[in-house]
Amino acid sequence: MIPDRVVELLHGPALSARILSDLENNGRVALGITLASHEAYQLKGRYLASRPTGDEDIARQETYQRKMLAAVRQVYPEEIARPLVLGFAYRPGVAITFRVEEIFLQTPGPGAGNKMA
Amino acid sequence: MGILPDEIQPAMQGVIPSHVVTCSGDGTPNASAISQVYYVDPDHVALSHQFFNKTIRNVRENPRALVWVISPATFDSWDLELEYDHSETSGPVFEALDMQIEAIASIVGLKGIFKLRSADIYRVISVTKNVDERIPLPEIDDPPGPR
Amino acid sequence: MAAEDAGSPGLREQIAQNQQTIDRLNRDLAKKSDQVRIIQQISSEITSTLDLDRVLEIVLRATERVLGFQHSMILLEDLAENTLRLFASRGYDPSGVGAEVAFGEGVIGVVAERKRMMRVGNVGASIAYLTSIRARLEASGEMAPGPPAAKLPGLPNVQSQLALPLLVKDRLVGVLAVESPKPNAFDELDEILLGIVGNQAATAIDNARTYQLVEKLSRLKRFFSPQLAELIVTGGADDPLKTHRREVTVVFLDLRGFTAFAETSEPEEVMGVLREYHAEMGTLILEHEGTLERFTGDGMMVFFNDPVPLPNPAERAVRMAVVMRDRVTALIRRWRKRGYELDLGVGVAQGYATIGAIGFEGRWDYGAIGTVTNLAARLCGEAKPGQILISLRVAGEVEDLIEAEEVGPLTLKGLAKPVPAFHVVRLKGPE
Repeated sequence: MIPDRVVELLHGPALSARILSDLENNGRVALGITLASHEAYQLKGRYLASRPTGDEDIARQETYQRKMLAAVRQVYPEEIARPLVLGFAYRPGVAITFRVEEIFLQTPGPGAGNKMA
Repeated sequence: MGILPDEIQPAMQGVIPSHVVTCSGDGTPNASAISQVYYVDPDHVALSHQFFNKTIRNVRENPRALVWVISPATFDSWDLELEYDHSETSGPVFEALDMQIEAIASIVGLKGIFKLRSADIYRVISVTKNVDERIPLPEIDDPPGPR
Repeated sequence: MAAEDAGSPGLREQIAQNQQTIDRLNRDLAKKSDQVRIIQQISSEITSTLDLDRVLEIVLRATERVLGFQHSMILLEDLAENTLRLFASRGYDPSGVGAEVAFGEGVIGVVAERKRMMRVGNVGASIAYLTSIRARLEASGEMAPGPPAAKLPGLPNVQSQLALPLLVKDRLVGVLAVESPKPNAFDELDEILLGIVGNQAATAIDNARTYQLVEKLSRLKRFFSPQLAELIVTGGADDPLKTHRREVTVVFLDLRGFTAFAETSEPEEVMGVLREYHAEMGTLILEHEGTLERFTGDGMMVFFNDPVPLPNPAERAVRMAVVMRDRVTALIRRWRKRGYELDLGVGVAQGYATIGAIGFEGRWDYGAIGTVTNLAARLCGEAKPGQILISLRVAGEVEDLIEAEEVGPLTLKGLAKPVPAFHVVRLKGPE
């Protein structure tokens, strides 16, 4: 089963330059996601489009940062948690969308590497 | 002078996990979290090979890899382009990684389960510091929760 | 190429950056060479003492004051048990002294096992990571539930550890470790500096420990056979100088008529008699595995079952007493020819005594205290020339081995009630 889902990534423009050039060439996406709890997943799919971010995206990033801070605080002391979260929001930025085709479990331990969807 | 700047060393102590991206022979990318990218010398880093996984398989087919590391001192992050060079099963680098893995595994009761098979040595091809402007997090009123 | 590009902004920036790096390194080096100088001073301080506690204190103080490490500890190899034991720490509450670390366990245990330095900047994060994996393995049934993470001495919230094996010619003496609750607290320069301190410390600690052992050995050799003394210092036997309580058989002996003889004879004659007598008795004590607690002129106190437990202490005591009487009888014949009127009296009792080092600094003795020593001494005092008086308790142990006559009940000083006693006439059996 392939979930018909589209994911949008917000990224800084400098780092995105390389990613975008690779995506233009290859079009295939692998996105690693690790939660503070050590749960990890990988989304694989196809590149759709990109655009510069705007005010609305910045508001989304702030919301994301708040949620992330709450989670990261469970694992790291405050002096690491706050600046670490800061590393995940950019202005200006680039929004990259891709269609998810497969999801893999990557949490170390039993079932690591298994395809979930 | 090697390619890795001194300031990157704190990012290679495993304080903040890193990610590694590889591609299989047919160009299918794979992204995976790794607990530590080890500093070997100004031109080389090592990744631990404990379990045979997609990353290990890919670099043996297609030696190029990209890792992303974050410094817990400055929170700067870097992209490193790597090329898989060889695997070591003895010597100072292997020993250092093996000791570290054994030390922690023995504390948690996983000695023998988490075991270093080899230290995979990669040559660093390029280092790119992330210079993108990050958005300062607005002061959040909620205090840190109980830990 | 380079000449053409020298004016380009990128390269100028690069050169300026390189100069900055060089300046920083020079500043660092100047600071570090100051530290190295201080470390050298410390090394002369630690090599000038043989007091182990003092050496450890100096090393840890230097680790804090000179290198700035707030949490440090020294573990030494436990000679008996193949583990490390925490001997000294600084910056911990409680100190944790006495805690054990098995070889191969945790950062410190692995450093001891491999005899290699280790620097880890993410201890807490790694433990959290593996703990969550372990929980998943247990939840999936791939692994049996086990005990939680090992409790090791150190900071509960440790993030960084730098542990150094203390080696003397590749032989492990112990581990010097510093810790921090901050991640990545230590760097390569810290390794180098701690390494210099550690090298000096290893030799000083080793010397102090060796000296401690030699001291202890020579003290023990005053009371015990060299073999037993060795066994005690290497941990193969309990230290008998630590106070303990045990049932022992005590033998008192002295020479009847010795006081009168000593008063009326030349000192050379007295010393000659004592030499002969001590030589004969000493050999018999060793043969029967007795422990000579003390001798005062002609008197001796010997006991059995400590420091080495023996299966038949009463039998050994009585057999020794009988052989002693035979030997002294032979000596007496010679002494009579020289006109000395001497004879042997022996008392033997059995019971619990408190045993250990008795005395004060500089004059420690190994001794036993209890009613049993008093009873044996009193029986000896009551013994007529050639008599071996044994208590009821001893008689009960050896009744099948001896022919005895009851003499008794005796009223003895220091004992509330009269006590029965037996005179050992001879040993039964083929002889």
